Amino acid sequence: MFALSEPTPALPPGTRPDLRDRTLAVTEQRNRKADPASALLDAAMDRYARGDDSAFEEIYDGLAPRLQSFLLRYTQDRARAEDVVQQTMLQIHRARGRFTLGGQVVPWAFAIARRLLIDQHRRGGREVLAPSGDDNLTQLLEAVDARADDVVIAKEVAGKLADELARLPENQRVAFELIKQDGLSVAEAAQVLGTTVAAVKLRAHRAYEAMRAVLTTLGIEDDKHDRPRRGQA
Amino acid sequence: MSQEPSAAADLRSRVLAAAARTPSATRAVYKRRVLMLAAIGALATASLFVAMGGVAPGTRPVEMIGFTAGFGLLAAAILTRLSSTGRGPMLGRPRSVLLTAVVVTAPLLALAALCATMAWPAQTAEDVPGSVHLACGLMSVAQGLLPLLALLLARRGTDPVHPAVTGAALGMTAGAWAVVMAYLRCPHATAVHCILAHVVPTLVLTAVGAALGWVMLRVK
Repeated sequence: MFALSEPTPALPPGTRPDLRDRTLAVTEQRNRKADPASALLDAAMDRYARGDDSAFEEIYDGLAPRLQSFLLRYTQDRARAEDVVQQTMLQIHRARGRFTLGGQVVPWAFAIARRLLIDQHRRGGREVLAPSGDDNLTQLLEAVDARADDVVIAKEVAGKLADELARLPENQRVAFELIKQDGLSVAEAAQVLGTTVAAVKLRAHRAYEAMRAVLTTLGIEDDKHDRPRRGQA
Repeated sequence: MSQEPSAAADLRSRVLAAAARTPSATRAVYKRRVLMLAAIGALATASLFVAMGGVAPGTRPVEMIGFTAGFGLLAAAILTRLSSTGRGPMLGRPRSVLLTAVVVTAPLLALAALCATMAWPAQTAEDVPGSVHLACGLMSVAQGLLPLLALLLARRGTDPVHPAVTGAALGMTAGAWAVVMAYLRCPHATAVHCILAHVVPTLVLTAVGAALGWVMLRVK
């Protein structure tokens, strides 16, 4: 004889967990170990897919800031970024019934946002600008009262890195940015790009090596801890 | 500086209000719709199969029918599993996996047809006219279109990553199911006929699936 495990908090109270629910519980536990924030979002999305309307606020609060920063980097236009965030969130709302048991909402949302951005660009003929963090960097350095020459050096390094990033093939650049700047795991980035984990690892590694080469040329030591971690996969 | 938080709060309230105004299907409702669609698709396909003559073994031995239809059934089952998102990743399989499945299936089906004619050589002496190849091929396409439409409708607007590739995979999946039906209903067993009238239509359905997938599966 065997005993059924206790239902997870994500299951509605009073529901006897059947096989599918137990599968979900195992998947949720696995996700939670990998990234607690993403796992909580996945659990909220699962509740929303089951019909708990209040979970949408939780999903919005967890996703919208990340999506907005991702979109702002490409559009450099707050209104356009907000427009795509709105469309993405409403798309998630409309398609909530299709959210699969144990699915991941973060890569899904990024993939929708990326698709909407590309389509908007194609339709309107508007240019998707190359990502740039120059203004943010200046604001950051001013905020920490950095010396003027430090600001100049930092801006020069950032400019060279941005130039190198812009020169990279698009698939390498996007993989690098999704992992290093948007905080997605390698597996999540692979889902967003519709490719394999191995391919994303290779692309991100090549981009990372190109960045390192720039830093080496500038005489800046690379911090080994900054390399992509295996555990991220 | 204070504009940013208020703009974010404004966006948040707009999105939440819009979501509250437009109700959407929950998973239970969506599942019911998909099941209904699958049932209608299966029923319509089976009806068409019966209307086109149903099972017609002709002079073929049962083992030959079992081998060819069984191989098609195996391919159809694997492709259905690969191209579905039921328990798999939310965004479907990687592009390379789907493309490999699409590219490899037709040659494998053709190889199975060749193997069958080598294993049962007595069946290959028949002379099949070109018009029969064409008619049988058109029937295969028609029988594959219904499952293809059902598969596409069930996944309408769900693929933000590679809708055309997913559509092609669904087309090949429907094609593989059409191959199973073709081997059951078609009494001709020559390799040329099997390849031209049973396997080539899978390529037609793949192309149709890719085109329809781009239109129907993409997120708008």
